[in-house]
Amino acid sequence: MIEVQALTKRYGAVTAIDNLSFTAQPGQVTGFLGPNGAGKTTTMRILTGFMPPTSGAAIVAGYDVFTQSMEVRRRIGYLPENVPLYRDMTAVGYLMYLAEIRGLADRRKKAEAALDRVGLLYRAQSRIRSLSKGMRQRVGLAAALLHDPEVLILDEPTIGLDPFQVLELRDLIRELGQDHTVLFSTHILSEAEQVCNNVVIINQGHIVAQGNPADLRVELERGGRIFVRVNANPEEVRPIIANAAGVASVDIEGDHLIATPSSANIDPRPAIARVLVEANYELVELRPLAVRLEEIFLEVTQRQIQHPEEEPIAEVVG
Amino acid sequence: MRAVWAVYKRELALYFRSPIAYGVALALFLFLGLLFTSNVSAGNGQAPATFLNIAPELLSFLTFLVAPLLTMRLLSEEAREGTLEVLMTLPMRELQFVLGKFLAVWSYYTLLLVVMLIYPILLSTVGILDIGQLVGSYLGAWLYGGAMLAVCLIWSALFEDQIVAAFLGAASVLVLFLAESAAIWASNQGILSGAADFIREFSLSAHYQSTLAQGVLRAEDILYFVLMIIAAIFITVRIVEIRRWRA
Amino acid sequence: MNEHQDMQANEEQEGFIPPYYMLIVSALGLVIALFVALTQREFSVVGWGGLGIAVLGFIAWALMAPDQLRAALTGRTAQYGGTAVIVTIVFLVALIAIYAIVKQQGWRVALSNNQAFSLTEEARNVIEAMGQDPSTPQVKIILFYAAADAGLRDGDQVLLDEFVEASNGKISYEFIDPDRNPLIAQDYGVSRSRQVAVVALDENGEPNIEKAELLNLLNQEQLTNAVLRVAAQGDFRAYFAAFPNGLGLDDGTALGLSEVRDLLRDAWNWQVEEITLLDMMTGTVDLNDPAADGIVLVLPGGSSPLPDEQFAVLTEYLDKGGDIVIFAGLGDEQPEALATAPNFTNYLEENFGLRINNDLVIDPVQAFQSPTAPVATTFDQTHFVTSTLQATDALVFPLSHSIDIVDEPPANVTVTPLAFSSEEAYAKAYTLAVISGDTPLDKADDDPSGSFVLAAAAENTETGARVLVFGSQYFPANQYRDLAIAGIQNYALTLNGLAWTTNFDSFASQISQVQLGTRVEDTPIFATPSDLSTISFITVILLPFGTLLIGVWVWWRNRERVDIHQPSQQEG
Repeated sequence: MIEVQALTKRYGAVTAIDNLSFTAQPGQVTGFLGPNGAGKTTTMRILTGFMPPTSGAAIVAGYDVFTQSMEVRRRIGYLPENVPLYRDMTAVGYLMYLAEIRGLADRRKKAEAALDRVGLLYRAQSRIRSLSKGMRQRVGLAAALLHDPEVLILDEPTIGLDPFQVLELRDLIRELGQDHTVLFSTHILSEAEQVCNNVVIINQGHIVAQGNPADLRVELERGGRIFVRVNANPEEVRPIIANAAGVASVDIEGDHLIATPSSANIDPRPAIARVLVEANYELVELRPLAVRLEEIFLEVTQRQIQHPEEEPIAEVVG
Repeated sequence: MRAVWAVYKRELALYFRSPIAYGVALALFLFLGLLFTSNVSAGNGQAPATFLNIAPELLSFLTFLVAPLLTMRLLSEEAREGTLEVLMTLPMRELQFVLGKFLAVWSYYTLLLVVMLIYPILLSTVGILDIGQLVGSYLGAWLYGGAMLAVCLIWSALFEDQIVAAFLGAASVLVLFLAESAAIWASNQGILSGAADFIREFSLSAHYQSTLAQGVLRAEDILYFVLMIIAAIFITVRIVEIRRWRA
Repeated sequence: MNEHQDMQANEEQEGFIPPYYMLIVSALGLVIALFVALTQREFSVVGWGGLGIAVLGFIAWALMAPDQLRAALTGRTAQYGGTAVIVTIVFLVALIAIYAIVKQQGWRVALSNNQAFSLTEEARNVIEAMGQDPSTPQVKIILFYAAADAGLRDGDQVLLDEFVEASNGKISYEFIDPDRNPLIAQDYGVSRSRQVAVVALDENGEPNIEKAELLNLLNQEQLTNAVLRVAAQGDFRAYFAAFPNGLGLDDGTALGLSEVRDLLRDAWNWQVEEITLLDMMTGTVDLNDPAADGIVLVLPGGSSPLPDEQFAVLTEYLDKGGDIVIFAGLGDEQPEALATAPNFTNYLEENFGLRINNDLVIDPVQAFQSPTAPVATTFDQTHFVTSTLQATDALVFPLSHSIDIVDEPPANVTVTPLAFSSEEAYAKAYTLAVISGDTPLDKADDDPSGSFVLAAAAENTETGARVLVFGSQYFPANQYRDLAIAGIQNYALTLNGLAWTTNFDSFASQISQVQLGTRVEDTPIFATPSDLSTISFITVILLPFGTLLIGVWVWWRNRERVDIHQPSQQEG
């Protein structure tokens, strides 16, 4: 369980994260999405006790990250971005080293179990510098799993892996999510959609959206604009679509059109299809603009950039 | 203590695989060996054994090279490789981490010093050693080295670039070493006598050369080195804390 | 920053005096205390005051802003905020304070028994004896060390502390930088750094600079001996009898004795007084005071015989073992003078085996300015009094009597002629006419001639009495002091004589004879050629290249392991 309350971190005049509040539930995988520099790593470093917040509080596994840092550290497994490792050590040696610092008993057994869990036991005696990028990522993950922590915090765990490895890792995270609190950050959104039960999207230190991926999609589909592609000159069809019932306005973007509904509760697609067919146009594509998380993400983050004063457009707590 | 021990073991083992550590040892032993041999031949029949045992005094002088070389990577590498982030999210305090590192490098230095007992042992076969002087000078060289390693550790914590850390380490050891000359200079400038005495209290040589190295144990000399170790470790811990605060 | 805002908020609440002013005051106090502790010998009132201000300032701050204190100790500001720097500085200052306090205690141990730091058994014994003797004065060792010798100072303190401790506090020491205190250095004749002055202090603690000894280096043996010499203040007294026409003790002219007096008083610390023989009779002066280490009666002249009752006092003194130095005078109203009168000469001959003739020695070839001032260049080399004279030295005996040594001295008496005139000398019987110039001084046929004894020493080994006779009353006069450069050693010999009669010489030499043995550790090494080649093999080849080999081996072993991918294999 991770509870973040009004967390703020400033570096001098720069505000890295501002008044962040969210919760990650046990038995769930919480995705932490955002473009580079959004404050994901800063947040995770605060949650792991590596960095103190400027203000606000975070409770991880029932302990305050600032005042009870050691208790928190005992209960989390953390995979930092870029997976720093001691390259001169063997995989198992590295894990045993961490186990010793953590004061675990049966260090070799635990180290090998962790390696087994990430499928790397066969390279236990290899020096880390001789391992591939993906293997190192898995050593880092094994280090996070070593002490079977309540909470796992994974910073961009799939970055730099080949597609097969990514798939493997996603399966692993999903599996771990069943009995741990997992918070993992990524900027690959399909990944979040596949793996996460819950998503927090941040940009420039602010939460711009959060909820479970399906809810987010429904929300945005309903309120979202309609993408229309017609086998004709967009200028020609624009007045026709504008006349359809429930359509407030139509914009031309390149070879396609974007129709904005007059109300968020109205789906104007049937009306648009009807008027186009009646006018004898060949309708090529008709769909909600933001159907995938990528698009929601792009949209919400871009709005943020264009209108930073605006409130987040969607907030679904779930 | 458990975490200190874990860090200590890893770092010490690393010294036995580190080319720098062997390089330092080779250069040191070769230099001392040549000097020692020529001193013994020159002093044969003339100088007492105590005069010829130059190892501890020379090593303490050479700490301005040895200490930065041995400490430069200790903390800067952790910061540069990012492993500091891993370690500082483990249930381990900065003090434990820094202490483990420091004790490891001090142990390596101690080992060098113990190997250097070969010189007095050889001397004892051809002459009679002043055991009191021997104990004092080795104890002094040991504390001296510890203090300088701790001071150089500060720079390693402050800079990710090992070369910068080493350079500043060497500079600070030299400054501490030359403080006595500075005190003499200050005294001759007619500046308040207090200033000269005050500067001198910070000087390395004033706490070793004419006392510990001669077999005279003074409480303030031993305390000087011990407190310098404590102060340097305290500062290093603070720097590591601030590093992760601003990381 | 958060903490900054907190602070400002507090300031507004507190009103006129911001609490952190108290912290500044406290820090200032601490700095003052620290400065005093490090630079002054005593942690003076200023130091305690500074410390007091520091503590009070801190308490005031804590009372005025308890929330700030709590925050500083526990909050995130203590660990990460601006307070971190202050906490660090406070910590460092506390360490320095601990250092300063411990330094004040001056705890030290010399592990080495090197003479440079530890008193040897011999030195410790004599210094302890000196410390227990209530009659010896306080002795101060002043070390003139310039700033460049501060290192030497640290080491030497250890030895000096042992001196202080062994002497039971009778010895003290002080380091003085001759560059900073040139006047003091000048007082002691210090010409360069590292010189060490040893000086006795009088009852008022004033140094007796005249009697100070200056060493060129600190050396335990030399220092010990210098301390003993300086501290050696035996109770020695010289009583100079005052006679009409005799040499006056307080006479500063060429024919006075003030030079001898000054040296005895200032350098030797003797008690020197001019008395009349009447004083001896009346008992105002006790020549036989058993408390004294040495008393000598000096008779510088005396131109008329002693009356019987006075003479009896003198003989009684000598019979009891008294010591006397006679500078024989010339008769003025009658030919016989004090020393040449029958009562005196008979007594000396019977008791000490020597006789002062009532004559005048004239040397036409070897004399100083006038033939009536014969010069002696032949001396007894064995006797203490004349043993210091060199072959080129000379003694002048103006208007001197000759001295006869009897062939068979009395029992227990040894008589030594000390100085001789040349073979060409002759002696004219002394009459008043001779001195007034009415009788020609040319050699008459019946005048005895040859080498005359002009000074002699006699000692009764049973009673301890010592008698030293010079044929001339002018022998010790001030004028000869400056002629020492020319080789005329009357002044030195006078002092030698006084030292010998009182045994001052053995007193002084006893105390300066501590010899420290050398330690076995200081014997040079002895290595055979095969030892040397073993040493050079081990230190130049085996140790460095052995290390290199181990390094290469470890590197190689390590390297191989990198590339071999072992399957999941468990290591033991």
